[in-house]
Amino acid sequence: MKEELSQILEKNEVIFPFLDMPVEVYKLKNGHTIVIAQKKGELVNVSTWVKTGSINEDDEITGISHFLEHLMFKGTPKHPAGEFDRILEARGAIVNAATWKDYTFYYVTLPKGENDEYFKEALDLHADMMLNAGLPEEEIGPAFDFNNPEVTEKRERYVVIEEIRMRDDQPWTITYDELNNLMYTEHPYRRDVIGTGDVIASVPRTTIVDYYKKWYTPENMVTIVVGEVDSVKTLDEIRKNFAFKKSASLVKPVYFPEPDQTQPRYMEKTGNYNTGFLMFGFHGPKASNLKDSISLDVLSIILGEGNSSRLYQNLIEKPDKPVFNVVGTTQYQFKDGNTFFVQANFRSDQKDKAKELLRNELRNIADFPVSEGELRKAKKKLKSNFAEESETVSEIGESIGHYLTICDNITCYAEYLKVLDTITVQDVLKTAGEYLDLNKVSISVLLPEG
Amino acid sequence: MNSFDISILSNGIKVITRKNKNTPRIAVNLFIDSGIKCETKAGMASLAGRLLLQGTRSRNTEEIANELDNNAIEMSIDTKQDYTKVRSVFLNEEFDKAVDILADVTRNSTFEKVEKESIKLKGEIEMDLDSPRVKAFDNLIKNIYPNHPYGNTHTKVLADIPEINRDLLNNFYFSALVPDAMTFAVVGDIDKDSVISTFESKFGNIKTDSRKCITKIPDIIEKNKIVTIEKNDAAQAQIVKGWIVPDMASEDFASIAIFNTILGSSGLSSRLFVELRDKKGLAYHVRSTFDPFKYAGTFSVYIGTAPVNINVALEGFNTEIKKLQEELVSTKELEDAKSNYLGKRAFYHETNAQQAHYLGYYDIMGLGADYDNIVPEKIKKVSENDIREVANKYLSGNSVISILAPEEYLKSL
Repeated sequence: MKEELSQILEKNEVIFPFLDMPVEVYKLKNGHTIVIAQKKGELVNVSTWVKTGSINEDDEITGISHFLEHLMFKGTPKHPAGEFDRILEARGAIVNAATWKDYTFYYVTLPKGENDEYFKEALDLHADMMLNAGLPEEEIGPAFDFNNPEVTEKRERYVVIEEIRMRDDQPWTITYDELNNLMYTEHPYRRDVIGTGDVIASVPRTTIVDYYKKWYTPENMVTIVVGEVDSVKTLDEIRKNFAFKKSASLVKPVYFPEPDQTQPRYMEKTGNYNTGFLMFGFHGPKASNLKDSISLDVLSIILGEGNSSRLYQNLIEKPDKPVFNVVGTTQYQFKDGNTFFVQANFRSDQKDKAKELLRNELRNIADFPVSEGELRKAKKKLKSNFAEESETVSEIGESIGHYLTICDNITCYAEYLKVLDTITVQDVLKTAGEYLDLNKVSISVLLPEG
Repeated sequence: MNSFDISILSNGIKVITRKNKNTPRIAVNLFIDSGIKCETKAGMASLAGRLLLQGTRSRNTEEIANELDNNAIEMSIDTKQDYTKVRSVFLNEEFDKAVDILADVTRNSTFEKVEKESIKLKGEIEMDLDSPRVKAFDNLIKNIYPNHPYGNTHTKVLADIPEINRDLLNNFYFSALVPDAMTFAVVGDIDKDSVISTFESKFGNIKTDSRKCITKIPDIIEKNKIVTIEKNDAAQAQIVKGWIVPDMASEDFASIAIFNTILGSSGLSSRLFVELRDKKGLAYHVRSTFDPFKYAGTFSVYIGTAPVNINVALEGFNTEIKKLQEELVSTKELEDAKSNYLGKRAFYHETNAQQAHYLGYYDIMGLGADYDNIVPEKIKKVSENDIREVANKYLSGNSVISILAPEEYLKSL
């Protein structure tokens, strides 16, 4: 029996930087959020963002969000495994998905086709996958003992285990994962998104199905279309295709806040490498704290993004024999608190010097405060980043989805440049003092053996 | 996509322009017909490219970095087998500033900081080689092209860097900076006339001179080879097998491109992906790649898998290639592959920067900017027989297999 279309409760139009027309945001009665953004051209991007990721896992099910993401491609009652990929890739589509701490998202980018034929097909298949994933046992593969090397039936469990193995060979990934683990003691963010081999090898199908039913509910999902589309028809198509069956109302989860870090934390690992890898990590503001979050974006550009940044100039360009091969900074935005990183690769025998040089640069923010010129540069760069994001349907879709899930509010994206304009050098200095406190730093180092 | 114009400056430099209205950023690419193929020492092209941003007669390193970043002008140098590309992208309002810097760095670089830049490059390469996958590909490519600059990989650069000096780089770079070896591609919300008048004043007086790049066609792979790297703590074996296939201008280019799509590059539905990943659970990453150059092409298949699977994976490669050599693909699979290839072109031509790349790229490869429009026609003509033919013609010959894995798993090879 066909479900009735869910009513539209709310419609908002939001002006986005560098987009010709306002972005339309609809909230339906069943809780489903729909966003339609106009962008001229033959390509369209369709995505659905589910507000779940490793944040909703515990040790028993670590990695389940990401494993489910793989399994979502394994067919529905209407379309057997592989058909979704085959049909859409035959239209020239880029099809994929990604899982992170706060969200999991699925997307298709493809040419719209004549009379929007491919677009409609993509929307239909995408909605079917999101709502009716079969998660078949034969595709998941039988559970096995992770420590037994004699596994013969290798299906999707094994694909994810190979992904874990792949990451075990990536020095930056190891350095980051160790740092992440060091930075959290209570909050679920401490778990690695990909999980562990033990859990992936053995988690029963029923647990995966339960997790799917619990989190893939209309109120926990945002569907976004970006392209040159007819808004009215597109909205109707989405409502029609996303005919959710009645589901239990989602109980808003409560997460233990991470206790304040009171002293530096440090960990070191060794492996068969030529060079040393190092990351400093600091806890930042919540993503929804727009002013502090933007101030840290500004600081990241000044400190460690681009060849004119302080770290690059002082630690790589100016010394005759630099300790570092690579150095940079970045901020990751998360719903329950951002993280700010300094990452560096250094000559293997220079570990202590490398750490001290980075500490000095961080201390220098207080002694050599950010100048008006540096602030101007950062603002211009951030504005240019928005221009860049507006150039592709995929980037626009990703920005909307990212901000709507980590911020719960599209204004975090739409208002970004306005808030940026108000940031002063004093704001940046204050933010640096508040968050980049060396007494609260976590440091992860990966060194060559011997 | 909008059409494009080709203009010629008074000294013969070609400038390709496409106006895309209402776009916020302009892309300017300068392609120089040089790159790795012209190297006499591995790393020359890369070092020369990097030194363009390290100081000119009027700007020092820091001033270049500041001026670019203060104006949010992206400028970077890509060094490839057949060309050096100076890539720049910036907000529309920065056109004059960006072109001014572009002209300065490309015409007036002093190449003084060779020693410093060599240290930086070596450090970055050493870091890159901490990736097992990079190491395995490095070993593949230098063994496919042992006597040709196309084989100048990271490890060869590390060996040759001490022999590279300022004079060598100065000659290398400026001998290629001649009008008949230069093509600009400019795409964005800007009129052709503004571009041409600015470029005429900035580049129109570059003197015509003879070029000194001696190029040759790579030798064939003499015999099948397996090259290995022991890495005892590797969680995965890195396995990559490569062949030499024809160049970009070959009449088989389109057939090889579609063969590649079917075998392992279409995304989640290619044969390697479905058979080795979906059905056998052997890997997260498995794919094939076709890299066409001016004087040859490389075709490779790659998988990262548990070391215990090395032989199963190699057999899997052979089985899938053999199927394509023996059996005709169905018309549906062929047509799906063509649509996949052509549909993805839209994805790779979405931004001004991407469009500026392709317009200049095809021109510098000697095929003309219009080749970007000819490729789809060639793709549409590929038949079932063509796929089988290229599979037999090019993948039956000698190959190089590069494997990185713990020692105990390499013994049985």
